[in-house]
Amino acid sequence: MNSTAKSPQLLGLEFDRYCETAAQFWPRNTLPAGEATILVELMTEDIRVSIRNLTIANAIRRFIPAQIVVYTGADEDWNEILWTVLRQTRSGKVGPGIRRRGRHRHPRHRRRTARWRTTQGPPRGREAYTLFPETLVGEGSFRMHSTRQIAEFFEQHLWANRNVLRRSAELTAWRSKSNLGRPSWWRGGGVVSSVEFRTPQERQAIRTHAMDRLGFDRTKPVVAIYNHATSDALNTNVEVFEDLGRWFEETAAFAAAEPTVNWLFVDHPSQAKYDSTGFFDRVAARHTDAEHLVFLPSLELSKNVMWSLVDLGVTVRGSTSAELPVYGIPAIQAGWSEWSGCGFTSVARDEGDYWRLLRDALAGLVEGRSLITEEQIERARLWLWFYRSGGDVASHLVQHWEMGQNEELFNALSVAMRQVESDGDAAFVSTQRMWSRQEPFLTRVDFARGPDSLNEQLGAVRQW
Amino acid sequence: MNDLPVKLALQTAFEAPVPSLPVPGTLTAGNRPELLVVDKVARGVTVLGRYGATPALFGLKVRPSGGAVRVSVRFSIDNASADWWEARAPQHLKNRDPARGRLFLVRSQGATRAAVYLVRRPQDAGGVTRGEARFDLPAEALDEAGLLIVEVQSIDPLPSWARHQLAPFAPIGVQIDAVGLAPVDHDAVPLVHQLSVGGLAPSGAPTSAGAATSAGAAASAVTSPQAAPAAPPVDATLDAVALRTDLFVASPGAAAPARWTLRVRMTRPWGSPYVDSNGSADATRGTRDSAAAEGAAGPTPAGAAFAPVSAAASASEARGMDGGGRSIARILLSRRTRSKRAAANSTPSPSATPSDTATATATDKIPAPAHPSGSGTTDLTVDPAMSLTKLLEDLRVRNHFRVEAFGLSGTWMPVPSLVIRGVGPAETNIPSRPFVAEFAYIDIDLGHTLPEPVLVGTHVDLGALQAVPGFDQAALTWELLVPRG
Repeated sequence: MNSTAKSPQLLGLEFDRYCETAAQFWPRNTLPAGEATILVELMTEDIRVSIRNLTIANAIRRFIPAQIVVYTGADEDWNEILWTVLRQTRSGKVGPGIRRRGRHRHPRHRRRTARWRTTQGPPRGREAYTLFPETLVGEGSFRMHSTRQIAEFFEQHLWANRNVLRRSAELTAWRSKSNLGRPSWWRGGGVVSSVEFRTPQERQAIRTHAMDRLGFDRTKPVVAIYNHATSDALNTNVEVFEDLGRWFEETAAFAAAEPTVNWLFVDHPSQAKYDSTGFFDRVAARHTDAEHLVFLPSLELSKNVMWSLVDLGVTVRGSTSAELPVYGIPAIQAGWSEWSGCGFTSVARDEGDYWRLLRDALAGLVEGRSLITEEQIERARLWLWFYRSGGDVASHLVQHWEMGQNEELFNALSVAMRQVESDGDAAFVSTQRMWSRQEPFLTRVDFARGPDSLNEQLGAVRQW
Repeated sequence: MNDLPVKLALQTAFEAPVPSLPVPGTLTAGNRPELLVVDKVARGVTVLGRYGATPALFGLKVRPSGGAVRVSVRFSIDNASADWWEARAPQHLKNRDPARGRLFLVRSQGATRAAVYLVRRPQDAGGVTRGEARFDLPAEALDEAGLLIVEVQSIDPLPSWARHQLAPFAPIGVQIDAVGLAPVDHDAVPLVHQLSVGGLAPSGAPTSAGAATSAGAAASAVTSPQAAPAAPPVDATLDAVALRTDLFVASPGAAAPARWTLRVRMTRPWGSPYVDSNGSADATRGTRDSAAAEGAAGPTPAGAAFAPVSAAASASEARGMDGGGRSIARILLSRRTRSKRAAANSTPSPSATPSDTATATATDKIPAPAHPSGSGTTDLTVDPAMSLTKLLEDLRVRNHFRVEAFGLSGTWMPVPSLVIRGVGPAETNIPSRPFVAEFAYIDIDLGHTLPEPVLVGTHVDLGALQAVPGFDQAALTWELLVPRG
């Protein structure tokens, strides 16, 4: 960074000071630039994402001499463009002249080299997924490869160490109840994202009122369909339907003819940012005569009420399918996600398989047959733990997402660079470990050393 | 559905024990663990919380004593209520006015239990208007494993005759002050038709003996029949509940016919504003809010029959261009003439305060009625043919006075029957308040026991009266006489 650069986003004097500090810090903590090039995306409007991407790039530069080339929206109105022009003109389709956003964000490199992406949301300090040419098996997009490799890692390091991790996973499951807006980070935190009831009896007390509010038949189960941000990251992973919009429309049509259960259709919490076409409302308008279908904005329901209702969750790749099974509520996926290979959701292979899974689940709900096993619940809790802990690298050089993008963040980053010696910083250690072992993501600890070491690295709560 | 197939696994190894609120017991803080669940409720510290949306609910862990439980939920509205409503009510609403009355349903354990009506008045202590919902839950409705759910919902649609007095999305911003639980044992007074008239009596207002424990009057402003000047004796089994506006809400309770008596009181001759011995207006009496009932000055009831007439129309009526208006005007003018004559023939009372006389004189040149001996008698007489009862009958015949009812759960459309009956002029027994008062009684009968909360509107077209010189709506007060308990 140029020490004389003015804050391009007018983020304030603290940001400018941070940039000056970073310009002093990084050259002394990396190798001189070499032949290699690291291409870094700075397309997002959120400075926290940019800081994450640049930190990883610089962490790599500690062991690979490389220059950094960033690509960003050159237009000063890029922020506005990002959230307006990129709204789709038709749900599930990308508007004319607009390249798919997923491609923008994850361009294929012409030279074969490793690729990585960082996640953009809370609750993590820093999370990154990587793909090394040497580890590729089969065809597919970045996310498809990533899904396969995560599944493999899950079996090898998480499920195999479940006895060591059980207590931590249990604690994460407890903590997550109080801010279930995470990992559904779109939803935001606070009291509307907490699940406070604990028992079937308490759930039933709330459920009775929730059913009456929506005009549902109290005697029937409830299936929730979670609409997506239908223009975000299109077709970057396996989707069994042509697009997210068609999945939603066809599921609604299926539900209209299936009155054995109540159907709750909720939009994406950030629907307005991703769909200005009124897609959700149009689908709802087709089914106004079906009393067993209710379409609602997601944020009209607190998590307490929504979770009192949902007996089965259905999504393509939504993070709700990672949340619900943690607490014993089954989920069906009509596509792949990071966790879809971890064995705690029912993942459809194709459209036919999706309808088969759905019909079977409905029959199970009506018959009173449980659709989820104890093992699936434990797997879901292990994934939740990994998502919030094992795969979350906390570093002074990044700061936690919840710090926000404000003076406090820039001040904390400046303190980290000026006052804390960088040796052993988790950002550097985890990046070198990931790179040297060609692992699919950053990890907080070294899982390969066996259970005893894992306990030690975690600082586990246990009596020696 | 009794047995859900869901293998709910919300329990973890880290759950802390949650205490239950015993019966009897009261919870007044939202950060207590007994308040286990909230939905669209912001938890408070010195209060339970405040509603941020509608519908909204909270769930309380309780430890029932084995029998039926009486639940009382205390609500209030204040300046913050208006601010919250402004910030959270849908922006597309027309005529956004958070100062309108708040009417909402209270549901519990899967059923509608009550409705609450709150409307602010300047006299409310500290600018806070308080109300309460009370209902009994049978023993089988509560157990320690479950939750006591209290849910509020706005009412949609509202009847046209009340719509302009009430805010949509009514619970937004309403504060939950406390929840109380009490056993319904053999000492408990049965709840009969819980009334909600817009707010509890202001602090310091006279209340009838035992009013604080009177279930029937607890949600209402209660005036003491004994303390109210010029009030004729009221049956000891009745409470007089002052109305804040021309609306009140009754909620189901023990089986009893839905029947109330509305007492209309004319507290002084026309043109003679009442001033008490301290020189301040009496805030405890059921003078209707100007915002709700004044006609031209405030929001108007939607029903055409109750819309206030314009000043020109009123004048026309007074000049005899309208049959109804002419008759009413004639009655009132006759009354005024008699009052003047009576005042001229009387000797000023030595016990009358200067403010009584001065105010009355300055306002309408009519001296306050004399109180000759302090014995509680007066030499004034009123022709029964010109009585307040006759006036109300006249208004009703001309559709200027009407009582309507609306079932708030939408399953019942009651048609009230009315009987208007009169009691002759009564006398004050307070030496410092030497004026004549007159009463009319309107029996309202909805036909049978309330199946659901009901909104009752008692609409008077005050515009029809405003043509009368010296008319002041403050001369009329409105109270409900309801069974005590």
